[in-house]
Amino acid sequence: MALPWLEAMGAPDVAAQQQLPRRMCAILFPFGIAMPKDDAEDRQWGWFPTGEGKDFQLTNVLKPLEPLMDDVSIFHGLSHPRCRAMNGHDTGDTFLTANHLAPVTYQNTISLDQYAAGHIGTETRLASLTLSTDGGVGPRTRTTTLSYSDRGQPIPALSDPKQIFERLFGQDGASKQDRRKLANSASILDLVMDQSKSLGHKLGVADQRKMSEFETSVREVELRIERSHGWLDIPLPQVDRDSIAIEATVDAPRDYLKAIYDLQFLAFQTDLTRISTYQIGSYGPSRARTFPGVLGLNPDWHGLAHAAAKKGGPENIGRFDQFLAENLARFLTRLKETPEGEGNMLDRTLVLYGSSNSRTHQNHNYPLLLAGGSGLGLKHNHYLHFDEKTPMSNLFVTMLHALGLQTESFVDSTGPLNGLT
Amino acid sequence: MFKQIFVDAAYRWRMRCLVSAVAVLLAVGVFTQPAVFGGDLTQQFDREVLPILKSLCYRCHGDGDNPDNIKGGIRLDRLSSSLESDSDAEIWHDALDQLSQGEMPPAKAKQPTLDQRRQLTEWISAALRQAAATRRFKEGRVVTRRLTRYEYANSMRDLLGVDLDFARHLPPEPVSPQGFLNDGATLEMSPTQIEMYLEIARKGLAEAIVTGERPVVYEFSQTDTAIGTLPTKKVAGHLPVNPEFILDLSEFPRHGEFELKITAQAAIPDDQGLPRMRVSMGHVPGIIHVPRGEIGMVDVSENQATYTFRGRMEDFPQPGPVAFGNSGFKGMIVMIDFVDADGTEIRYPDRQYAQRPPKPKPKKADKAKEATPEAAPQQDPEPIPFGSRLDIQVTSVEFRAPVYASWPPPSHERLLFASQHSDDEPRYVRELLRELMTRAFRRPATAQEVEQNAELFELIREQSDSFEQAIRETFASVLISPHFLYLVETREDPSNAQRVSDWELASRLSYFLWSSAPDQQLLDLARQHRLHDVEVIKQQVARMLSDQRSAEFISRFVDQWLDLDALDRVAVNPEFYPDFDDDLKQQMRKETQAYFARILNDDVSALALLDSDWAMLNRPLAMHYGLVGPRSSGFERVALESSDRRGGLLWHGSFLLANSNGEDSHPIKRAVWILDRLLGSPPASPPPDVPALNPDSPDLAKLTLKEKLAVHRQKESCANCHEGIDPWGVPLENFDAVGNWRTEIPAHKKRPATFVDAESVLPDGTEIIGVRNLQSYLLEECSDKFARAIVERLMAYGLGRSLDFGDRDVIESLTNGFIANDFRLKPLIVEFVVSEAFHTK
Repeated sequence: MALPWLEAMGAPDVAAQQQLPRRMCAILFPFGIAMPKDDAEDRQWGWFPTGEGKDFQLTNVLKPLEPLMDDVSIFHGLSHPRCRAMNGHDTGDTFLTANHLAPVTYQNTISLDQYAAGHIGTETRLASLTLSTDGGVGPRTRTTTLSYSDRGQPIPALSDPKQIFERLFGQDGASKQDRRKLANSASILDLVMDQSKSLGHKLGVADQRKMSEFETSVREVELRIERSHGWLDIPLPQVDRDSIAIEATVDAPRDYLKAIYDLQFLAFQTDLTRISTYQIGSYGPSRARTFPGVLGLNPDWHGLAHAAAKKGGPENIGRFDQFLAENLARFLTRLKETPEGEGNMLDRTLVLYGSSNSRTHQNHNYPLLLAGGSGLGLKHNHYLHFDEKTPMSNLFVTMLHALGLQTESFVDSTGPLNGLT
Repeated sequence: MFKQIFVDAAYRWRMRCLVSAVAVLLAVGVFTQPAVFGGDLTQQFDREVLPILKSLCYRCHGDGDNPDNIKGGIRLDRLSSSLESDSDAEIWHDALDQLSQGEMPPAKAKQPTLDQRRQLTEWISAALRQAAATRRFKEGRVVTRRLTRYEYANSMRDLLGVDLDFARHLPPEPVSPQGFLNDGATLEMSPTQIEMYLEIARKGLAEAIVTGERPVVYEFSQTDTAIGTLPTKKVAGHLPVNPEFILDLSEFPRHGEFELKITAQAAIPDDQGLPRMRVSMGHVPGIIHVPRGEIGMVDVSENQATYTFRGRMEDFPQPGPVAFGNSGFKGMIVMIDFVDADGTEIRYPDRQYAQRPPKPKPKKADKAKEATPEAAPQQDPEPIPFGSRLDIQVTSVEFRAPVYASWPPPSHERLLFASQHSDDEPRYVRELLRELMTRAFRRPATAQEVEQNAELFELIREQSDSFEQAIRETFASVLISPHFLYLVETREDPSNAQRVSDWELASRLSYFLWSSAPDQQLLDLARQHRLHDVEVIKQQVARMLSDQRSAEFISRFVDQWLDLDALDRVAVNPEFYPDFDDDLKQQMRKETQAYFARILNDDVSALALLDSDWAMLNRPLAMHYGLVGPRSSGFERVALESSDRRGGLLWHGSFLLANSNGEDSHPIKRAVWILDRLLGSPPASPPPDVPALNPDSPDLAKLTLKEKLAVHRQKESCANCHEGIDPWGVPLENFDAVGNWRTEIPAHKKRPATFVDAESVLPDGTEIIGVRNLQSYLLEECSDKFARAIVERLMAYGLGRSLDFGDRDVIESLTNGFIANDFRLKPLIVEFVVSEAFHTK
């Protein structure tokens, strides 16, 4: 569908407009995949391709990505070594943070997307977009968000397509009224901040610590408002509400997943943000557990994953993983079919996709792929094997370099990942 | 007097706990971890754990044969058994994982016996939990806590006087380790939430404070259904769209409260339950299934009556302002379906169903002419007239929006009340602010606070077009103040426990029993400094419990304590239960809530939760359980003949289904629920990297689940814990996944049909056969544990925090009192709110 409003796309100044955006999207699905042996008759329903390097064959599961393989690399052997000793179901929390969660406190650290957003998020209206099927933050060790602030605080995810749409396109900063609203918000927050500060020393020690979350949050909103002032003269891109199934709910997974991908695409296309994360389901009591029901499979994702090694199991989970790959492929295709500069949007968008379990509960050898970024120096169409020592953070470092950051390391990385550049 | 005694006591527990983290504690059961504060772990360590460590571990990890050769740098002999330091706790944690995974002791070394394994596992798990409780206490309690989503929504509604779905878009709350949503230490705050609170405040105030003339009211009424071809294809989770009655609204307000009046009557042949009318609204052109939001569902009786529904337009899916594709109709659609008492749609072959989208109707005036359908539907069987079979007849539907009781609406009049100073804007604004802030902050606003907000008003007023616009923005600042969003409890000395003020007590009471802000009476009593008086509190608790708003306590506490939300996380597999209607999940949840409510309100023993000769049932559930029950969908108390069914939570579909996998029973989940929720002794969570039982692996496929559990337990690393878990779930094998009684488990695929085997041996050696036996055992052997578990959960919920060492004495005395008072909940609640714990911050 042609979108005539593209012409109206704005950026803060001409210089920035000349510099085309670099983007990143990270997607996690829970519970792992099927890994039948190479000689098994249902090998075709294993997630990982057969072969290695340039010489590899996709199985049925990732077959939907076949037309896109010039823009995709698949990895074997990567994981977060620091997270291996954690409970198999705890690793959703650390997919993008790479750090071991301490017992008792479960303190986390900054996630890859927020780290990148700290550098490139300043150029857009929204520094980043955090999405998940379940929304909110969820309980520690089963969080329903992939994003963590620089203090390791989970960032609540949005889950309702309508709400995401409103957040992206609902407020037009151009009118006189909106200017006023923004100015008022700044004054309101000033007052609230004063109240919070004078409250602080009247509280107990633990309360003071907890209340500092409130102050940090207010300060962050103040900063966002300051940034929004710069956007006031730039009209918000107009998007046709009806072009997205924003009424879709998790009860109709097909519509829902499409809507979530469409919203991320539109957010990128209109340059409202350059960073997004989406957690398809959490390792906890997720609403996404019933998603496999959409294919007529047992509507219990966790159960399917557990049964992945039994007879017929690879096909069951494999069909569902294939369905997820189809959704991903549609998103990647939309990016690829949208021209940008000399190339297309996918050339400048890194899409990390995978799970933090291989077999369910196993924190080794994550099924992972990276798509996009040919315009940012990445070379694709490989199936790269690594030994277990290689931290997934090396991939993060390579991604950060492609995003234009001069990062030397991320948590436990030992350097950039070999083979992608 | 009261105050003096109380402060001393608080000081005493604190000192005692700081001096020695482990004091004289209660006796513990032997089968799982003790409750948070039971058990003398140090003694247990010396008696049971140390000898095992010495004989099996110290050789490599202690002062053994070769102290220079310490494996992995881990010295267990140097760890403190009270787990006071974080690093010690972490090593114990690792040790537990290694042990559970069977990695330690290494295969070539001498292995512990099953009993030794269990002793080690249990002790380490209990010690870790105790360490966490000590740590919480040492670090101080979080008592100033954020409102939960539902508390926030209730407070906003009560404060503004408009009934919006305020919390709809707020992120869901994380669940605390004890299963609660209102734990101050777990409740988070983030920039996104701040932005949302501000946005919601603005939206709410735009509704509550109005400007201009009364808005145009859209009115429609129909006596016949509109005709159309709405999509009929079934999409996952959605019923096909074939309503009995369609009201199409070609013009409608996008916003505001609507009122829908439906006049209908039912024809009900003998002894059938009342049929129900399900009303929904919504229309988004271009989506395959017509998205609609349910407005409500009511029982319809034989007598013609008018049923009134209310809601807000903006909460229902609406067509976008832009046309989509070639779909012409852009209006809203109200749909009415008929279902029988057990939830099955009433459909008759001789009935014409409205199945085409309404064509755009140009003018209201033309409407009457259009009443006849264009294409004659298939003339199938001769229509049977209304009256001879179960049926509903809708005689008219009237729609009106937006509706206001008066103009300006009462919310406006309350927030911008009349004053003799209305003409003196600065003075008037201060009056308005003082009133709102006092209600919002649940205590008198200080002069300084009022002044600060008044200054904000003046700043905003300069830039605003109207007084109302400026006052809305100023009020919004009150609604995102920490004094509103948090239940603030200040203290004079940040590091010491203190007694709560009367104002704080008013909030504690009202958020405990109503999940909302204190009402005028509570605030008045606080103002008069009378609320802390024991007699006054008792009166207030009685008043609050008899008030409608206490329904909020019942549903929230029961949902969280018994984890009824788990119902929504289990999908019933239609392959196994083709007749199961998902709406039953809601009915099951309500059954458990209604059951608890009845026990509370009748002030009978809470042991009825374990066993009783009555149930709370409505028509759909009674049908589901195969019992004779009420005619309507309202819940009624039903006496049970002990020969067919017993009462108590173990028979509730909510518990049985929520702890199944949607296909079959799940004895482990059910067992964990009993141990955790009813007995307060949750088993440790599964260790990392251990695959769960795979019931379908080839060698296991032919075994019954119980046999599979036995196989599972043969693996030593699993047996550590499962020896203590599984036997509690097996006696419930007579219940299938959806809570129905069975004596045989039907064949499925390769698994042959088998008879139910509900025999098990509990860890203490007691043989249990079936649910009734288990119920008797719980009543006879576990009632004290059950009492303590209720007390602990009620306290955690009522205090909005995880319990810690400082709470031990109160738990102990409340438990004793609860048992002495025949396990009645009302006296327990009263004792709790007058206890030291409830008055300490």
